[in-house]
Amino acid sequence: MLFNSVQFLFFFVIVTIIYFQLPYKFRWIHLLLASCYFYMVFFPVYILILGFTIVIDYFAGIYLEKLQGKNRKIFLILSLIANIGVLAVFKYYNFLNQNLGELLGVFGHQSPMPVLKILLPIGLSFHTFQAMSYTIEVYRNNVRAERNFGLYALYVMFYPQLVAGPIERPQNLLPQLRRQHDFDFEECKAGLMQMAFGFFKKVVIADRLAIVVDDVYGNVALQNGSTLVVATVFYAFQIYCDFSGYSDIAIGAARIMGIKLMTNFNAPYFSKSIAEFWKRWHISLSTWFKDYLYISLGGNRVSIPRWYINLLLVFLISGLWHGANWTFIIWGGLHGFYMLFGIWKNQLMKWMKIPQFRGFPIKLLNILATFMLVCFAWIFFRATNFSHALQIIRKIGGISFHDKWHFALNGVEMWFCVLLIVLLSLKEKYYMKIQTKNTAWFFVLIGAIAFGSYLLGVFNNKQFIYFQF
Amino acid sequence: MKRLFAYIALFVAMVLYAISCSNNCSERYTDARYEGPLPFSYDKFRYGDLFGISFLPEYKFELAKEPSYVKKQKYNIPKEINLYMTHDSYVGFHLGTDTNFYGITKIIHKEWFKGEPIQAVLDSSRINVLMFEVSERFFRYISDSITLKKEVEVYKDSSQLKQHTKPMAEKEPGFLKSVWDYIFNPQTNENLEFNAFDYHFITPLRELKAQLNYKLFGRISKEVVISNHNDHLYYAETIDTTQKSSSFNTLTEDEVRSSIAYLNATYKYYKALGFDEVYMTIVPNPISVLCPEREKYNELLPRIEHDSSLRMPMIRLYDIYRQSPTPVYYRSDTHWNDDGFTIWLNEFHRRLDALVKEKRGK
Repeated sequence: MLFNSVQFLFFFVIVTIIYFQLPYKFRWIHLLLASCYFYMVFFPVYILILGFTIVIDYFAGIYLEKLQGKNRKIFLILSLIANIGVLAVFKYYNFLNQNLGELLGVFGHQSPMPVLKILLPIGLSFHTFQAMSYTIEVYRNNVRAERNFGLYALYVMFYPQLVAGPIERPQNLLPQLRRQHDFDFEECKAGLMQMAFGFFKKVVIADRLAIVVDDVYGNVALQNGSTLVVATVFYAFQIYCDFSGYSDIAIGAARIMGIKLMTNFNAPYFSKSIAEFWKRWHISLSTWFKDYLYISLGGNRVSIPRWYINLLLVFLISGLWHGANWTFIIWGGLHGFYMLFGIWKNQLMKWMKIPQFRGFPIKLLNILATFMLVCFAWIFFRATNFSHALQIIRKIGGISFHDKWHFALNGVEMWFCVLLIVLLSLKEKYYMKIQTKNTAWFFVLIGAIAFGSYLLGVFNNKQFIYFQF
Repeated sequence: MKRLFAYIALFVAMVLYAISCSNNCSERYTDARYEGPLPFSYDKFRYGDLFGISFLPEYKFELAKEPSYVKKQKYNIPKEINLYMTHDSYVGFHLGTDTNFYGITKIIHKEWFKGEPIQAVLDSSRINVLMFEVSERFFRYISDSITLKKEVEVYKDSSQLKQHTKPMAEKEPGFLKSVWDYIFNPQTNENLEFNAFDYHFITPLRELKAQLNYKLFGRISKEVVISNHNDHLYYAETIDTTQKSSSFNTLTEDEVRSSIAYLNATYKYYKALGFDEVYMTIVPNPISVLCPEREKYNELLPRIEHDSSLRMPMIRLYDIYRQSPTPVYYRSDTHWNDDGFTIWLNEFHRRLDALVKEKRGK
């Protein structure tokens, strides 16, 4: 079920109202059933895959807690293999097979493995990572194994964050699912406002920018450099509004029910370095990789070459997490290199004793430079394949003042897009919280956002970009 | 107060959701709304199907609920004809009243793509006529994907008809399957959009949105195109040169030849099965008649209809429509208006009259 669909609006109203009418002890059952339905609306049979990993990780958690010594590690590894195995089959098998085929083709052979005709289950990477987070935390004795199977299933399947995060940690979510939440009107207002603003970001900004981006990236051969630059910048904001809009709706929906999900975005395009960008962009994933992969590899407490390799590896895997395509791996690799260059730059400045300037122009320069680097990497993220991305970069390299702009939107709407981006940036920069304390003011504001979303929204039932991951 | 509001919201949401999960219930609810008070009725088709997509107030013209055929010519055709017809929404809309047709004892009809083939037992005491009606935008798909020979099955007597049973796969689903289909109906969202937001009293809001997008951003629904003189709405796929339904999509000479050969084979086949006559009519796309110069018209209709090798008798409309002094299409709908239909009806009757006279002469 898409968050930007009428069906979700009704589903949300029904599930939330019933949730507060039910006695506390039945609420988790209600939420679990609702979450199952929410997921099965996409493609019912894939609930079986989710069920498989839930059963494995539930028992793995219990045994990890009971067992001692080497056996614990074996159980953890088995659980991780089961989770990663599901990902490997459904997400990476055909990619690996295709590449193996190409490699063998060089030697005149064909891949011996058949091509699987399977659809990628929606949000597979998200809920698999959330499930893995649980077993790792139990293994590390940071959290007790959940005995209630239903509650554990709800931890993996909690509908607001089931298909596109935020990827929660058991320490944060499980206790909240057990706790009794009474209806809190203030939290309800704040949650509704966050949902409304997330919806606005999706249908008014992201889906409007998508018209330009899809048109330009869909016909690269016909475009000139400056058109591609505009489309790439638009894509940066499209993907941000699309994904952070989804997160806002998820966090808001959970908040109304009294459950606080982790923040997923924090004005990422105001980062002054790539390292800072990754502390502000898709926070639940970047902290996942930091906590469970980077630190497990030794982090920066290893030899310097190993540290660099660790960093690069984490970003390459992060790229692969997004999709089974070389473009995502290159995107991740690019960010890895950016990180390394950032470290080298700081070391060089330290060594040369160049003082760190902190004035506004330097800050602005850093923000712009970071944004440009991020945009450059987005080219690979958005391109359909590597040669497509190279074609775009070549065209951007040939940018000229004489380039003529041809966009799928007219001039007024293009400027409207720019205005939306500026307003969004101002809101993010100054962390303007939308007021919800005053109830009358709340109703006026939420009415205005809903009305604005309807009037200015682009309703084409476009999926959220991160659903495909 | 908050609790009361919550209960009302829950009740309304649950009722609408429950209705929308079932296509059947949605249809009934739609019918009830159409008959009900105006504010709760819907405007999807009231002002034309293209208005129902675009909601541009400039093209808001109420379509008559009851059709009128003031230009219908009187023919004195004896009631001797059994008419079998496969059609689309053009003729489909006007089939509600049998009184439209002269000389017809019974009509057995079906829509393209829907249901099982017509099962005919030809009555030798009658004149059996088979009619294919298709709009220009569907013609190339039909001559491509559907075997016209499968549209009508002819049986010697009605005892054979009874033996013709539904295949296993199309039998009524069991209880559990029905519940499953209800809960996970893929059309629930579409039904909900219609059942929750398509009300006459909401139309002004939709018009405001459409107007804002059009005037400010120059953007209207992708499915609709405005005519060069801003007086008509056209269905976009009849103009989009990349689509086969378009009047401006390239039509090769080979394709014309193969379509004609296909129609001739179909004609021969049904004549051999015992039909006294087989007709076809291709209803022109509005753009082909009103503004063929908008792009390069592929001349589908003239090239097919005037080809000397064509054996299938055609009820030709293109030339008549082009010369008609009065409009033959609605301004905000994909279909012909009552005058457009009446022209077709008169032409059809003229052919039936001639056919009956010819058969009587024999």
